[in-house]
Amino acid sequence: MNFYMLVAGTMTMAVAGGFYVWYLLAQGVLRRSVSANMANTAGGTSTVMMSEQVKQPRHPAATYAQVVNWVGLVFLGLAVFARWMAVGHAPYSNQYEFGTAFTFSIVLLGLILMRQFRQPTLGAFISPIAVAMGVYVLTLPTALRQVNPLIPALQNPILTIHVGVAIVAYGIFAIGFVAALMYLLQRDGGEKRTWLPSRAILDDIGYRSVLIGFPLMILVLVLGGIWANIAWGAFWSWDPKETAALATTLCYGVYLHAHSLKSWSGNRAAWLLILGFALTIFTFFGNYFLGGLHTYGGV
Amino acid sequence: PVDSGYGIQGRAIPIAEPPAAKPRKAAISAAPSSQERVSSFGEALWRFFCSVRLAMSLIALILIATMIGTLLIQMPPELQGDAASRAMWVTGLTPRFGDFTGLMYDLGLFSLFTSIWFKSLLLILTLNIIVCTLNRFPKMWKQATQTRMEVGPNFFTHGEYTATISLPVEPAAAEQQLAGVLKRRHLTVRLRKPVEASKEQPAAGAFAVYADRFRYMPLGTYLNHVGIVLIFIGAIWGTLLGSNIKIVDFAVPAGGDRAVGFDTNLVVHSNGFTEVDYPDGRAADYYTDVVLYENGTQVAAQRIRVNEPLEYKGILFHQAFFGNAADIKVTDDATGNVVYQGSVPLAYRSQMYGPNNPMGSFSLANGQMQVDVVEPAGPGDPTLRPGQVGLAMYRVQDDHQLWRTTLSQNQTVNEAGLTFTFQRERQFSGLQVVRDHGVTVIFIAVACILIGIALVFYFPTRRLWARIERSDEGAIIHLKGQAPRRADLARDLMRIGEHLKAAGATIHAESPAILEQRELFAEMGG
Ligand code: HEM
Repeated sequence: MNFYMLVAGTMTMAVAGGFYVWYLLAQGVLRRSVSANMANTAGGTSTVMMSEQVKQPRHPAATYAQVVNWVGLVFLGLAVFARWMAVGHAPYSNQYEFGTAFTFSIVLLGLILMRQFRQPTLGAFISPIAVAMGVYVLTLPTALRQVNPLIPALQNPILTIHVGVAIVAYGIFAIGFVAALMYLLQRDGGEKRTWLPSRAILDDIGYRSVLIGFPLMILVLVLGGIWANIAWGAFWSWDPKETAALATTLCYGVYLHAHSLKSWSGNRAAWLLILGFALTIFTFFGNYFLGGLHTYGGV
Repeated sequence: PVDSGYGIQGRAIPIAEPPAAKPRKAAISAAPSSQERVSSFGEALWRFFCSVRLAMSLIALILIATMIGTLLIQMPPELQGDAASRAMWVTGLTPRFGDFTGLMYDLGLFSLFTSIWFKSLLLILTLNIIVCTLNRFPKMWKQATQTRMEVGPNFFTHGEYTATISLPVEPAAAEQQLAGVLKRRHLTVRLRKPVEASKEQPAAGAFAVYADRFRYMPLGTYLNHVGIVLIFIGAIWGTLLGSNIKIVDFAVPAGGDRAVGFDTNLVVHSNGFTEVDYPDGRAADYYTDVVLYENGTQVAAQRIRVNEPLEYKGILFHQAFFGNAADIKVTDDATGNVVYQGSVPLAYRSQMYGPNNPMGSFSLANGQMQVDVVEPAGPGDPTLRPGQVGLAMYRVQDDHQLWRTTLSQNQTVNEAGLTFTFQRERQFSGLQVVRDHGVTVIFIAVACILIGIALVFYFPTRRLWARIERSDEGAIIHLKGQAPRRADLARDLMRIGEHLKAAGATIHAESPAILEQRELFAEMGG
């Protein structure tokens, strides 16, 4: 059941991605006319006169994309829910379950941030990530799809929160990654790429993703520590996966400081977001090659 | 962050007066006295530790170190105390790292998190945080408490968040309306004051308005950074107090007792170990029924599971592992006295008697002799059959093996005037006994960090200045906002514009950031 929901969700997201790309391209064409206007405003300090209220009709592709994206979210939500019901606990006990939830989280947070910042163009980059994640989960060994009971150490509600928070943090970092990518694609001076949002907005989105994700990552580490203190008698034991999660958190810590420095905000900060997401992915896949206390979560 | 007015180390604070040029002492005196040299060295050092760039470099270095620590095999902590096992472990790595093994070991790469240079990094970081925190406190406090509320007309001509709005009413009425709108946007209006319009026309009349929100919240950064320092303190707290207990291999045979030692008079008694399996043979649950005695009196009794440790006076007893114990009895042939009778938990692993056998040991003759007990490594063990144990006796002095034999249940062996009997097998519970007062410090630290970050991130401070002057249309309002984290300020100003527009205002100009917001909202719907 949850497998087919995941298939449906992944396919729907692929369609949504198509619509987003269409919208992106349409933006390029639509805005080219207005772009001369906007180029002056990119200067930064000068105050521009308000001309007529710029009221553009919303391109239909954005609406299609958004609707299909919501449908994809529902499928993915059902996939998570069905798995939850099937195993009788929050779905986090192996890579299949965690990956399903990760995909769901990317799509959900993408929708939320796109709505908050009114930037549907992000979807053209978020959807491929969600699809890639979905395909990865679908191609995992079928043994992982079997419902296996939890080993005693994992039977703890703190862990449910620990993993739940991690999934949200990872999802939001995916959005930050997308914003950074688009930031680097967008030109700094001169003529802007009309199909991309302005650098200021992309920087805002990236920063916002860290404002949400960074405290959540700390919470993940702390909840992990509390659980380890109960289960293993040590708050911190440099277990490879927790260390990888710490490295991820530190990277976003560097980003937060970088963002506050004039010379480091901008391109360098964007690269830190990209590195941060690379570390997030490394942490996520860490079960495979890192060993340690988290190995039971792996294959 | 550009031109936000909250730059670090006093950069970019447009509201402040330009700093008076400070005469450089060293530049004046030709030969600086030694005291001056010291102080300038101290100053340089202080400035070095103030730097956010240093902070970033240090955090990045720690990040790299942690990555090495995850990717490179690390020495199990239990080996680190013993030179011989350390050497053996490192030798085992030679096939993988070849000639570099020794160098890598010397650099501490295999025990990275306890290495000197990792600790040094943490120490420098701690200094960095402390100095940086002290250094920026006065400025931040001033920002929070003594913002300049009254500003001149030039203040509004540049900035990331500025707007010019006109209202067809008297300036006094416009000021009234603006104050109302600011309150509706949850800003606290701190200044409403008639001021001179300009030097040339002082009588024309103008108004200055200042409002802000969450002005103390940036100080949350202190909770945050103090929390980080507290984490490091928490990590060494127990060691500082000398009160740490950590026994990772506390094996108690079912039905047996074991004293905790250290400064306690605690004895743990196990009423038995239980394992419950799922139908597929995997463990569903395992637990030990434990009774705790202090000075011979029962003080606690609990079934302890992985997630349910027993806690007594800050000491935690965790269910960590389990295995078999062998009941061994030793009698003196000459006197008939029992010289040893006990359950030997086979809690370790040994490759001395075969492929990785569970092993335990006990001592005889006041510690001069040691007897190792091993059980089969599995059903396919070539030397020991299921149900058998192997015994081997050593002279502790020179680690010389005196004899070695194999026993089945209830079988005996006579060696050196002693009779050894393997009575039966039973289970043991492997507990971990831990006392670390530092954990409390860590919890406090973590609370500081999370609360501090929440204050800074989710209650972003913002400030707004307005100047209202008379114009041809009635009144003209110049607005300017500042916020360290953008903080939706553009959206705030956009909404303020909208509120005023609903009251008949015309928006004349807005800075690009606000304009961009407005455009997006127009396109995508409010
Ligand atoms: C592991 C060490 C550190 C961590 C995890 C850390 C974490 C953070 C976080 C989460 C923030 C954003 C929230 C806030 O403003 O409090 C921040 C800001 C800041 N940190 Fe750190 N910090 C560390 C070390 C340092 C050090 C050593 C310095 C001193 C140079 C420093 C200086 C600053 C400054 C000046 C800000 C404000 C930046 C702004 O205005 O946005 N931090 N830090």
